[in-house]
This record gives sequence, structure tokens and C-alpha cells, in this order.
Amino acid sequence: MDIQIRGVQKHYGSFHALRGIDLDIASGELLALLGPSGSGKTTLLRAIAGLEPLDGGQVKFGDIDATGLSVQERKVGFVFQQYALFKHMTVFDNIAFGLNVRPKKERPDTVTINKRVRELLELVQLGGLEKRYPAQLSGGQKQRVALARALAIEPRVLLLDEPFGALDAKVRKDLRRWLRSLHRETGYTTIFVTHDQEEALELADRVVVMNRGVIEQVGTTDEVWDAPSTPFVYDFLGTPNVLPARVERGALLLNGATATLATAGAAPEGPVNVYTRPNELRVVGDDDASALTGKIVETQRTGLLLRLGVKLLSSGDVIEIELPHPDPDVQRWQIGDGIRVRPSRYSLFPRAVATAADESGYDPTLTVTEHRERSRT
Amino acid sequence: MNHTVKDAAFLPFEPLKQTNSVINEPRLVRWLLIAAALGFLSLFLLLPLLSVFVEALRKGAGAYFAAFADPETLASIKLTFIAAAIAVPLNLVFGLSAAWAITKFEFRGKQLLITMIDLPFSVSPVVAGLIFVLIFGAQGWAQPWFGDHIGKVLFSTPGIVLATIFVTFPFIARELIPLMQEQGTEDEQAALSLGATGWQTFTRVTLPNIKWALLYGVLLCNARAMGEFGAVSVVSGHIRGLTNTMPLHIEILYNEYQFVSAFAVASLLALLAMVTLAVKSFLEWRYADQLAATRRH
Repeated sequence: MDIQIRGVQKHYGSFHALRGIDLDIASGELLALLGPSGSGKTTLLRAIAGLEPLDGGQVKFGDIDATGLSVQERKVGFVFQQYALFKHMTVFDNIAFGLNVRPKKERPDTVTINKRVRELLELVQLGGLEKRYPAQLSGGQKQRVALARALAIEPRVLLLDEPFGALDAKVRKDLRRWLRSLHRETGYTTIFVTHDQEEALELADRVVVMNRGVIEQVGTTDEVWDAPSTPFVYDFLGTPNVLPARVERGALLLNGATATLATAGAAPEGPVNVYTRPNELRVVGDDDASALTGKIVETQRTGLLLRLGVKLLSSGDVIEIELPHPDPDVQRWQIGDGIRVRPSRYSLFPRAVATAADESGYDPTLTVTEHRERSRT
Repeated sequence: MNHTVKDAAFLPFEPLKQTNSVINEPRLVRWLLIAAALGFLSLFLLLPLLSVFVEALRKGAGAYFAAFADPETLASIKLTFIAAAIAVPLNLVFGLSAAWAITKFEFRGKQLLITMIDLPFSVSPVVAGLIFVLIFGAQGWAQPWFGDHIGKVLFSTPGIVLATIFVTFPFIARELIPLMQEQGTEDEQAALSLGATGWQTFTRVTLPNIKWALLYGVLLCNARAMGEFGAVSVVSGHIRGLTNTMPLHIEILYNEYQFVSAFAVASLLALLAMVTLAVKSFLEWRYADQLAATRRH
């Protein structure tokens, strides 16, 4: 089922958690909501589920306007970060819960429920564990029970809140691959929340990058990685070098350096920041007129990568460069060496002065959960 | 040679041999600690309890059981059970609602409500009794209306029930609030998202999650309801055979030098308390697995 979200607003007291979210999710899509804590990603997920009442905007499931529907009426499969399994019920009863609570007329008979639960147990690869209690399961198993329980009601959409957050790295990797194949098998429209960019980019068809209650960018893994549309996306997906510069008559002048670069089209005149990733800087020879010259102040080898800290002669800023580790035969970089580099890819963003109005209602010492708790009425 | 074997026989709580030597106190210290704990327990808890039964049976079992044949004694036992039977279910509902409101919702005046729940603990029972005298007494502000429309409150069963409810109010709420706070609302949200109604969520998810705390609360509340003296004493009026609960009746019997009767009734009260404790321990033992499973990890 496809989902349309229009102008969704949510406040927790003075904290503006969602500032007019518009998003279209295609039927059968696997979508990631990615962002740092406090970005509103979980709030948006809960808003889709109906767990958070909205202050404005609309949520539509297909042709149905779900905005006024209760949690029960929305029929979404929600998997909580801490699983929220019913501790006093067996795995079987947990999965059957959604079927057992249906009104008598709609409730399947015992045989059908039995059959359905067993199918789901097979689907999540937990056959034989139906008599266990949640306390007797590992984290990954609990996660899969929670998923089976959500799938039992044949939800319109599957919503997962930080599905791998509470698991260790190895289990997380396995479960990620498994979830991907489960999605392919079942075809449910699935939205999951994560703060782990690797997880989002690896798993999702499309990624929604969120920050401070707004959507920064929506796109496929390639799109958000290759063409970050805002400085935030650049920052969040890696650690870019930021070089202050100016655009004058279509040419880019790096501050204090004679280097000029093409502006790649529609950059506004005036002060800008050049964003370039450490792996997008190339070492060039003396003949390149638009190179930045600097001195190596730090070298660090990580596996097959060599990281260099380069202090620019022009501004004194230290930028980071990543190179494939060189062949033992060629020159090894040493601290103190001179080096000339040139960005092979980069993006320009106008250098905006941060406005105080932006900060209103934002208390970085409070997590969103706390805002949510505080404003609950 | 047989040194260790002999010592072990004397030491009932000999810890496992392979325990960490760092936390193994010298034998003498262990002995002293155990002796101090047991000695204190016997002197201040067991001995008085035992003496109640010894005094009650001083003139033989015949005199003991004869004490219960007295109609006034029977009336006091009946009144105690009536008061508890009304106060405990009401406090079960009040306590559950209060705990629910405090832990699942945010609202103005929540702190005040939490403080108010503790009031019966902090106020002396005598003052608690006096509150009802001031309201329903001959000069009380509510008495003219109540006297005309409903009937007597003070010096009759309703007053005793009211005082009992007041004094035992915190037991169930206090037991539930920390647990429900810790559990949060995620289980309930999960149940709702799976299509359960509010009532189904309460009976199938919330209640099983809190049933142990609820049971302890009820047991403690019941023990106190049957044993309450101060507040009930103020509102009862001590009318023999009518408004005396067991604790009040014991005092009257004692003051009249009817020691066997006094201690016989007292032994019954003590027995009820011990049964409460036994039930609690039995349930803990019987459902140990479930108890462990319902605790958060």
C-alpha cells in the first residue's frame, strides 16, 4: 500500500519535532528514515502508525485518509526498538495476539490461527521455539518474534523503530541481510528508522535524510551519496572537508589561495563553502595551477587506506585526505612533506550566517523522547 | 585431622568451598554476624509473637476456644472482616487508577497527587481518625445532611470502613507506581497497534505485567486493614458487640483483665498476619520462574 504524507506538523511543548513533512512512499518500497537523534525520524514513524497525534497535516494510506484513524484502525505492523514483547506470553501467544484480540466475527478459528502462527514462525526461522518465553530468547530472536507478531495482522505497512539498535554488530549484519530477503519475499511496504548511515544505505531502496524536523534529502543510496543536496547531508554521510571560498564572475576562488576551480554551473556569487570528501581529493603535480599546496602534519594507516592530515599553506586549515595505500615501491608520505592536492569532486553551498530564530525551542540537552514524555497529556 | 568436617557440622550456612576467598570473612566474624542477626530477630520478633500464643493457651485449649464463643468477640471478628472486605477492594480500584494515572499520563498537579497518596503514611492514625470526627461528628459540617439522608457515619460501621480505607490507601498505589513507571507504555502501545481494544490491552497486557505487585499490595493492604487500631479507635466509639473491631476488642478485654480472651483474639490476629506472609512466600516460591521472567533485563 502506498503512503502519502502531507505537511505533517508535530510539537512537543515548545519543541518543534516535525516541521511540515511531505513524503510519498511507493507500494512495496523499503524506505529508511535516517538522521541523528532529535531529527524527528522516530516521531515521523510514530505519526504514521498513529501513536503520536498530529498538530497538522495529513497521512494517507492509498485512498484512505488515515489522519483521523486510531492506532487500531490503521492496521500497521509496528516493531518497537526494545521489541515490547509480552513477557508473560509464549512466543506462540505473542504472535497470535493480534488475531486473538479480534472481535468474534472477524477472528479466525483456532486451527487457522495455529496454522498462521506456524507459517510465520517458519518465515522468521524460529520454528520449534513457540513454547519459549521472551526472557529465554536472544536479542535477534526477540526481534524476529516482534516482526512475526507485527506481520500476523497482515498490516498495511510495516514500521520498524531502530530495528537493529539493541543488537551486537555480528547479529546486526545477519539480521540486516535476512530482513532484506524477507522484504523481497513478502513485499510489504516497509519503513524503518535508523541513525546508522551504513545500515540505511545498504538496506533501503530509498533513504530519507532528516534533520531538526525537516527532510534534508530523499533519494537512492547513490543519489544521497553522490549528490548530497545540503551541507547537513554531506556532514552526516561522512566527514567532509569544508573550505571557505568565494564565487566571483563564475569562478571559484579558494580563500587565500590562487587556486581557481570551475563552479560547476549555478553557484551564487559571493561567499561559499566548498564541501569535498577526503577520498575526493587527488594528489597532483607541480604543473597543476589550481592545486592547493600544503604540508603533511599527520599520517595514519587504516587497513588499505592511508589518511593524511594536510595543513594548507594559504589558510592554515588542516584538511583530511584519504588515499589508497601506496605500493611499497612508490613514495611514502612522511610528516613534513610538501603536497599538492586538488578536489576532483566537490559541492558548493552559500555560506549562510546561522540565525538565532533557528534555535528557538531547541534544547540540545533534551532528547526527543524527553520532549515526548514531557508533553504527553 | 577431622577438623574441617567437625566445624562444618556446627556451621549451618557453610558457604561453597570454591567461593572467592576475598569475600570469605574469618569464621568468627561469620558466626558473630549470624548470631547477631538471629538473636535480634528472636528477641524482638519471635519472642513477643510466641508469648502471645503462650499467654492465650495458658489455661488450656478449652479456655482458649471458649474465648471465641463470646458473642462480642464474634461480633468484633465479623466487623473486622467486613471492614477489610470493603476497604481492600475499594483501595484496589483506587490504587490501580491512581498508579495508572500517574505512570501513564502527564498532567498538571501530578506531583501533588503523588504527595497526597503518601499522606495517610505520614499522618498519625489518631489524626486520621479525628478528621472523620470533625467531618461527621455531632458538630461536623457534613453531619446534618448525612444524618438526614444517609444515616450515622461516626460510631458505626461506615465510619470504621472510612477510617480503614484512609489508612490503607497508599499500600497498593505505592506498590504499583515504581513498577509501572519502570515498565513504561511500550507494551500497551504494541497491543493497541496489534488491534487490541483499551480493555483487552488492560486485561491481557497491563494486568499480567503488574499482577505480582498488585498481589503484594493487596496482601499488605489487607494485613493493615485488619490490624488498624489508632484511626479506627477514634471513630468507633467502642460500643461492645457493635463497633469494636478485633484490635479494639483486644484492648478492652485486656483492660478488663481477661487475659486469656485478650490473647486468644490477639493470637487469631497474629495468625491471620502469618497466613498472609505464608501465602506471599508460597506464591513467590511457586511462581519463581514467572517472577524472574517478568523482570526486565
